[in-house]
Amino acid sequence: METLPFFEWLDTSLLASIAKSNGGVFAVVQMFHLLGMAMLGGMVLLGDLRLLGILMRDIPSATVIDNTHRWFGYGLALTLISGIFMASAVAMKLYYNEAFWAKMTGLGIGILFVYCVRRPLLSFEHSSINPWAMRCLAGTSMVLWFTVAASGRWIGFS
Amino acid sequence: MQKTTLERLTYGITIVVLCGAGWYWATQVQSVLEILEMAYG
Amino acid sequence: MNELLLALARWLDSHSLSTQLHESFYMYNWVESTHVLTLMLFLGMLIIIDLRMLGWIFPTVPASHIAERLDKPMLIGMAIMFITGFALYYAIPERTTQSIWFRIKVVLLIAASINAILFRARMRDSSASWDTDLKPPNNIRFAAAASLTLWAGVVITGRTIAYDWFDCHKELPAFMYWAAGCVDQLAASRGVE
Repeated sequence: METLPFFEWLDTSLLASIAKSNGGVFAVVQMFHLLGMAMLGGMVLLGDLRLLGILMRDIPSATVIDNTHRWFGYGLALTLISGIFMASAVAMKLYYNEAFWAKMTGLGIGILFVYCVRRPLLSFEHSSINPWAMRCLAGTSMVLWFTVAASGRWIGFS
Repeated sequence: MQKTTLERLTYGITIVVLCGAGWYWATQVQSVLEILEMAYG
Repeated sequence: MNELLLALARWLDSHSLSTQLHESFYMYNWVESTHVLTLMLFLGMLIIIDLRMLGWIFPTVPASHIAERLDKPMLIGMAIMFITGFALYYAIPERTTQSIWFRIKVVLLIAASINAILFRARMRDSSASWDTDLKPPNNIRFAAAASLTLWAGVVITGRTIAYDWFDCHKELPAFMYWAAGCVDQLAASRGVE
């Protein structure tokens, strides 16, 4: 799939001209990106550590999953919206950035994983799910979102 | 979807993600080497 | 005060480890990344506790349960943030000392800590009466909102340290030179008058 035209279009879009000409606006959006990341990451950590039986053992895991899943969605929305704005400012640089593609791959798998596998599986009675499937679910989720966040930070370095 | 199907999907994705993330971070290993060099070199 | 802080920063700057850390591209980046990513642990847990105090998450779980169970992971996150944060300061002490953003960050950090200590004390005294309420009393909710705002401020000013908008070498009003602790520039601007 050839994506270069998309990045060229994004690079010259109205969004990009706003992001490029206002350093202050860019900085503010970046802060929301960071706060969204903290929210998303916190919800992932709490949910997965509960599934592994490490945190909040005395609270039913279905309760923890239901509550964290909703706020995970808000965190994801916040990071996606702010992320698109930030990407428009440096679209051409991102196209040639390896860490950016690692992040996008992880993000795509992560969203599919959360909404097509993790959520549907956890809608069954938790005690009826194979414990190894549970551990795989929690571990994969943490590795995935850590990689998304860390490779995002790595974009700025590479 | 069936529960067993979802469980199998979970195993499959786990393998894919562990291999993928492992491979990606292994390619970034040069940074670890530099840290070791700084500590002991 | 400004002179003293600058002298301290220059002394730290004279350490060879400080220079090594600053010049080591990967080591600095690892420390920086750890600092930023630990936000997910520290700020993530803090957000969950504060959201519960606002009555927006875990309505069926007693507030004290949430606060107690998440206390340890949050403090682990905070310890990591402190250690890596100090290392980052140690790598670039002089510029950071003279950064207006860093100074605001420290002030907000102190304010957030005071708020947290008061909050904990107030919670210990009163939680029995509202522990299972969906919406805790107003003073608790206010403290939670203040906590979220202050910590958001800490993150924001932490991020802006990287921008050079108000660095000492820029042409700034005398007040800014004073606030950022640009001792030499402040003296020079007074000399011109």
